[in-house]
Amino acid sequence: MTYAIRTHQLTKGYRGKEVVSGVNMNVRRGEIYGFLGPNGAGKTTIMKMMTNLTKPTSGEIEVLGTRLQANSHDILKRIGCIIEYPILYDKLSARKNLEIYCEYMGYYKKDAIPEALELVNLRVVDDIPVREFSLGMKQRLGIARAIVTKPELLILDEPVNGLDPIGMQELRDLFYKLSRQYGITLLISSHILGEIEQIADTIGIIREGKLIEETSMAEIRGNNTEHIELSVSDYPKAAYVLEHELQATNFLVKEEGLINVYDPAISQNDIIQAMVRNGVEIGRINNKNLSLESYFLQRMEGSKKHA
Amino acid sequence: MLNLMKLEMKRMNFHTIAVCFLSINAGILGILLLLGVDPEITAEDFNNAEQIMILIKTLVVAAFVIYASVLLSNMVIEEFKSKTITVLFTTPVSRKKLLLAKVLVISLLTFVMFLVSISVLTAIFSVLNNAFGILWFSFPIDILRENMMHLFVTGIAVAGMSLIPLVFGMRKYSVPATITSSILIVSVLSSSVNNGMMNLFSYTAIPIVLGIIGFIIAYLVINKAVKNDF
Repeated sequence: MTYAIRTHQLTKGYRGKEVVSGVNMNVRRGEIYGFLGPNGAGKTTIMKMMTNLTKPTSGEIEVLGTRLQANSHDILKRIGCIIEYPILYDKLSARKNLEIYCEYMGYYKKDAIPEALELVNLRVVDDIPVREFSLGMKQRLGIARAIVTKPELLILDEPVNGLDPIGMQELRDLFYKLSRQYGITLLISSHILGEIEQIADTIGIIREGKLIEETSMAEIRGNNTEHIELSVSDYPKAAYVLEHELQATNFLVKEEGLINVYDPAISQNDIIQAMVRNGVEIGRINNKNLSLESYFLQRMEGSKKHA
Repeated sequence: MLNLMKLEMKRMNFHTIAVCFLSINAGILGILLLLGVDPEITAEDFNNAEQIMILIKTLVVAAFVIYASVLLSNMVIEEFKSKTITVLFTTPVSRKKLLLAKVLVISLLTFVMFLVSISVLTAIFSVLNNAFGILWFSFPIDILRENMMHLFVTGIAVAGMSLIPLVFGMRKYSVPATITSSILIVSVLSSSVNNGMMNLFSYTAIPIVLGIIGFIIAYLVINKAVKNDF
């Protein structure tokens, strides 16, 4: 079994309106799956269905090799999650919150709670109730609760919301560690792309309830996004050289003097040598990686046009 | 199931419950002592020990049905309202069992508090009456033994009846609706006819029927609640 989660034609409708339609997701074991989409695209609804909080209108979900039924609950022992926002017992302390959760989970390892608090770097005074916590602290406590029972699968809905940049980096590091050291599968949703770009192995993009793309990050980095940006003074000649000497077919002369070369067969070095041979002066040349953000936006635009 | 009930009890704040329990009993005892203020007026309504027993029973039932609604609010309605129930629903516990455990703990506690209160109040009032002659007639502690079976059955009925407010409270997860409905139930039951000699509680059948209805309602409400999307 190589998949932690698979959905098949997953659909959910509320009052006749489909908010999730025909989603086929495949989350492989051990990977970090970045689940991207604008607000209201259906990410939370899908995650709720995966944890059986919400029942699908149609379609199937298989989690850790088990098909979810309306009353499945045993499987939840192996899953940790934050859905929507960390829901906590406001009047109780952080430790008490974790204790209650552990009891219901049937998890009695004694030092699990201090360990989890340590992992998310939440230093708490014992008798302070959670309602006095900042949003960032609540978020950390929510994550601590999700990981305290050492689950095989973590489903985290917008887990770095409300954190400062340092906090975000800390948690990203934690997620990476959980994935690589403990072999936990992570499904992380976000609407801010930069948040998961660095750690995700696979990303799924959802828009208006439809999964419009599911690709590995390596593929995105390799295939779609790389190009060489070249700045020259004599751009007609440069274009001529590119076309005739380097047989480049895929390049774009943008503004005056700026040329993007998308041909993966041509290296920076090839271009420099060719230009020098032909006496074209190069102002500047560098490799450009399209960030996931631009890629994402491109995809969103694309799907809009098709729709 | 038993484990879940234990867990629910562990989560309850027994200190607060004990304080409430004692205050309620002190209050009812206070009301009973008022009977001694003006013997003439008291004599208009109360002429024998059996009537005093009915009075005590009515007060205790009223108090603990309302108190049960407070517990229902804290342990069930609030969890739905603040969505913390979804945290429990993401643990490997059957939703139905989880909610049944909560409701049964409340029922059980109401039953115990009812029986203990009625016994303690009867005993204390009997002793005080002997010592200070609060009533013009005697109120022997033996009346407790005579009524034991009846009180036991009423206790079970009260335990079920105290769950009726669930049906109102769970509609919009409203604490006020829960507590208000419990007060309404109590007012209807305790409203007296025949110059305070009788109320709906005087017939054993009525509380028993209501008790059974309460348990059935609780089950149906839970059955519906677990099917919801969260």
